[in-house]
Amino acid sequence: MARKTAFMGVFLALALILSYIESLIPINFGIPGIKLGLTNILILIVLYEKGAKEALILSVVRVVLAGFMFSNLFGILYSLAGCLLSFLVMFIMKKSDLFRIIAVSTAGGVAHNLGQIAVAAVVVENINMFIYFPVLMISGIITGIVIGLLAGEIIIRTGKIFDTEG
Amino acid sequence: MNKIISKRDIIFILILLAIALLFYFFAYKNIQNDGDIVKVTVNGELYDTYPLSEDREVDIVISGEVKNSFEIKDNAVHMCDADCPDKLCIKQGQISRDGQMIVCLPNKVVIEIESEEEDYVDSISK
Repeated sequence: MARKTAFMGVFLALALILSYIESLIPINFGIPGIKLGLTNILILIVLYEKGAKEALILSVVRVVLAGFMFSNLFGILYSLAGCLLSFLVMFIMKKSDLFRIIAVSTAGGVAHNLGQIAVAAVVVENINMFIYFPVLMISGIITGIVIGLLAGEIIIRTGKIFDTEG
Repeated sequence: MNKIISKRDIIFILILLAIALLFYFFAYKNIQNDGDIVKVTVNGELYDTYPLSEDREVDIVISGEVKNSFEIKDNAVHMCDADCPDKLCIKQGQISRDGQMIVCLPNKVVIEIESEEEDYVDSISK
């Protein structure tokens, strides 16, 4: 139990640092919502090496804490929708055992952007928000591939750490 | 191939890309023609409309406070000031064609450009 608590604490701290780094990188394509999704590396590692429950807890707590520190209440609502939908899709994709980590990560990236845009459309009560979707989908695919590659390499190289853990 | 990627993954990603491109062409088809009305909605309700051809500056006043102000100039609209924390609406730059929009999420303000003549795509999607 103590090991698990320590493990989750370390990963949460890492996730917050990555959120912070991400908030420092200005990416502006004229459309809000395009991000690298660095923390998804950690979510993927936890999902693959620990389990779905831990990955879900990590992503929700991360969004709430990072939201209070680097964004506002609005940003939390916005990214919570993205992270929950993304988690759901990645969980189902992994559970199906049909795909490797790259496809799981890519689907997660696209789902994240879909969730965000859905919230934005509800908030401004304007379905035309979905005009951004193709661009956000392509950006989700690109970042998803990169994140999936990184997470996969990290899992291959550090996977043993997780095995020894009780 | 290895632990990270398989043939099936590549096919999956290519299908996703194809869907995105398909969406792209459908979504952007109806912003080919120039728009002529600037429509401002706040919280889903119509705030006001302005002709795109007349240059002017507009302050959007919500419950007594100036929340956003935008400028119509040379048939294009851009947000010049906003009281929201992230200023993303200002960074979105200027819009000029039918279907384009500037969104200020924190203030729930949407500035859209519409065309008087409904084209084929519009009449289906509405």
